[in-house]
Amino acid sequence: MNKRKVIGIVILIAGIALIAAGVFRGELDVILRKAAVVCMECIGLG
Amino acid sequence: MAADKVFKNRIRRKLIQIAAFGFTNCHAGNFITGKLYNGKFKEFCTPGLNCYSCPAATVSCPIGSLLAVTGRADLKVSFYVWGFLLAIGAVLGRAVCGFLCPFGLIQDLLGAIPVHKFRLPKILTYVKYAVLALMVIIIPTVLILATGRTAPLYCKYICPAGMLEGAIPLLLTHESLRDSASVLFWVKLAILLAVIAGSVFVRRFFCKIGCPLGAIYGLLNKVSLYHLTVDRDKCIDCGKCAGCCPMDVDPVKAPRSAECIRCGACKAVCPKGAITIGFGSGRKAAKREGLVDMNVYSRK
Repeated sequence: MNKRKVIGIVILIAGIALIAAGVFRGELDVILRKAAVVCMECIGLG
Repeated sequence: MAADKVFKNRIRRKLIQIAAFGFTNCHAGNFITGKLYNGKFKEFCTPGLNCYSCPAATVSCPIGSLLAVTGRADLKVSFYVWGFLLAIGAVLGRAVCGFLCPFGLIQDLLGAIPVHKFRLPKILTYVKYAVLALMVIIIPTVLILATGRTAPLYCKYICPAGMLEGAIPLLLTHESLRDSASVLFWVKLAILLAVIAGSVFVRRFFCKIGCPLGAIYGLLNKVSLYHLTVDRDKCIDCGKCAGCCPMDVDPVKAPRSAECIRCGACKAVCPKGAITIGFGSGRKAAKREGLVDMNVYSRK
């Protein structure tokens, strides 16, 4: 297996671990709250 | 034969882009009511650039989500969104830009207008890394650490997708919001118009110069599992691949270029079948297509 592939797989695994950590500390709820209503700041109106 | 391959590649990619666009924005009826979809799918990010304040949006924008979590004094950094971007980028690299990004499809459609296309100086492609570093990572992080507050800077001051998909449809349906349109709104409208005009004359204009997602996926292009391979034994240096690339990449010189969106245009146009795109080393794909003998296939 070449070096690039190994690095890619390591990053993939790290990414999955970070996703799990983010879900565990409740980031999904923060995102849902932000995305479910019109975010005036996000669209340059606020 | 080559024209047939080019046509098939174009149609295949367009169908995938339309499907991705449709999934990301399947609440089109909300454009009439001006309401936003607020169901559970909004917890999840789309890999491409698509404003979550777009009435049709089903899922959330990764940059907006990243900045939303960064803006929380108790969280400061988003493990979830960074993890998502790293995982997607490690697998697909900038194939996300080529196939899954709704704003990429919009630029492709603008780019299909038959006018002379210009090439950007290479140095401008580095602007997106400055945008990523300053507007998405450094300034929001410094502000949240120093003051406990930060705004979604990239979304607020730059994002043309948010303007096109969020601000304009919402202003059209909500009279009350029109009073909120300050100088910033007109500045962002000017940015959007510049991006639209740029996309007509320069293929994938915003992907090249301003997209922070493109910057992240571009860096991961170097190691992504889905990648482009050039068989130098087969290559005759005809230059057709470099000539047709919408991102101005020469795949022979830089098959892992941070600009390559894996659109497959180079592969389709190659008269010798020297280019393969996939998860493997290129040998299997080449053999499957009967392009090269397994024993003579090599990568220099």
